[in-house]
Amino acid sequence: MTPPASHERVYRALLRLYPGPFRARFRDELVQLFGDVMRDARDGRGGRGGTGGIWLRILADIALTAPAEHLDARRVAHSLTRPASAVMKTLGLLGIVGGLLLLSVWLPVLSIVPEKFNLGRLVLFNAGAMAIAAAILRWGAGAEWGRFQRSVAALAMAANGWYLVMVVLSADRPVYPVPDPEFREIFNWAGVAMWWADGALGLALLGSRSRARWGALALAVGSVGAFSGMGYLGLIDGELGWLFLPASQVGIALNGLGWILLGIAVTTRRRAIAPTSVAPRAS
Amino acid sequence: MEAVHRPPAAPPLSRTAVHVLLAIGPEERHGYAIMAEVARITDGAIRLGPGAIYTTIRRLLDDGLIEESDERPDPELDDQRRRYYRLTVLGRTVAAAEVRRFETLVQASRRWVLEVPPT
Repeated sequence: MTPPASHERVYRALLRLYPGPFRARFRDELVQLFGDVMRDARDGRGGRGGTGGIWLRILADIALTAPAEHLDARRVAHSLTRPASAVMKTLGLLGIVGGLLLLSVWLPVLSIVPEKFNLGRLVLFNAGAMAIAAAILRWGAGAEWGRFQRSVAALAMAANGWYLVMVVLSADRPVYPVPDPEFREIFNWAGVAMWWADGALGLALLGSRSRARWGALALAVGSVGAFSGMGYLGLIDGELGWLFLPASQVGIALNGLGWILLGIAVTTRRRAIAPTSVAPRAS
Repeated sequence: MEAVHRPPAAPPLSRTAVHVLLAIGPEERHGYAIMAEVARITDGAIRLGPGAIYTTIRRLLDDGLIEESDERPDPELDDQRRRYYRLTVLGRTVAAAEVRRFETLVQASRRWVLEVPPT
C-alpha cells in the first residue's frame, strides 16, 4: 500500500497546475482537505473505488478547476488594467513605422527611388526610435522599466536625435560621392553613438518581463551587426567582408525588427488602474 | 489590508457556489465540513473535490459573499490550522434569494411534476 505521505507529495506537485496566487492562498488548506479525503477512503467512507477511485475524482477535479482558475485570474487581472494611453499608442506606432522603414532597406525598389526618399526614410526611422525611447521614459517610476533603463533610453533618444540632425544636414552637403571629411567624421561619430546607444538600450531591456524582451534582444544583437557595417571601420571592405557585409545587413534588419517589437509592446501594454478607483471590500 | 471588491456574480450563481453557500448556512465551516455538508444536503449526489471547494471559496471571498472567521477551534477538538468560513450579510441575502428562486421554480412546476410517475 502506498504510504499517505507519497499521495500527499503527488498532490502537492499537482497543485502547481493552479495559478501561483491561488496556490499561495489555499495550498495548505487544499493539502489538508486532500488528506481528509484520503483518510476517509482508507476508512472505507470515501465512496466507491477506494483510494484509486478518489485519485480519479481528484484528477478530474484538478482538470476541471485549474484551467477555470487560470481564466478567472486572467479576467480579473484584465479588469484591473486599462489599455495604453493615446500618447503611448502614438509613440509605439511611430516606432513600428520607423522599424518597418529600416527593414525596407531589403526592398530592391529602394535602389531606384530618389535619394531624398532614402533620407526621409532614415529621418522617420530615427524619429521612431526616439518615440520608443520617449515611451520608455514615460513609463513612469515603479514600473517594469526602472531608472537605469530610462537613463539608457534617454541616451538612445539623444543619439538617435543626433543622427537624425546629421541626416537632415546631409541633404545639402556633398557627403557622397565627394566627401566632406570634416562633416563625414561627425556623421560617423553620430552613427557610432546611435548603434551603441541602441545596443545598450537593447541590453538594458533584456530583463523585461513582457514581450518587450524579444524586441530588446533583436535590438541588442542587431545594433552590433549594423555597427560592424559602418564604412569607416573598413570591415566590409576587408578580407572578412564576406562575413561582415551580410552580418551588417542582418543587423540592420534585426534592429528594425527590434523597434517594431518594442513598438508593439508599447502600444499593447496595459496600465494599472489607480488604486483610488478600486472600492474597498464592503463586508 | 484593502481587498479588491468585485460585485457578486450576477444571479443565478453557479450550482457549486450555491451548494457551498447553503452548506455553510448559518454556521462557520472549514473546507472538509463544507464538502461533507454538500454531500449531506444533496443526499450524496454531489461530491465536491478540494479544487472545486477552494476555487469556489476563493470566488465567494472575492465577491464578498463569505468571509474568513477569526475564531479557531479548540486544539483538542480540531486542527488549529483549519480556516473557518461564514456567510456575510450579502452572502445570506444572496443565498436567501437563491432559495426563493428555487421555491418559485418548484411551485411553478409542482403540478405537472407530481403527475409524472416516479422512476
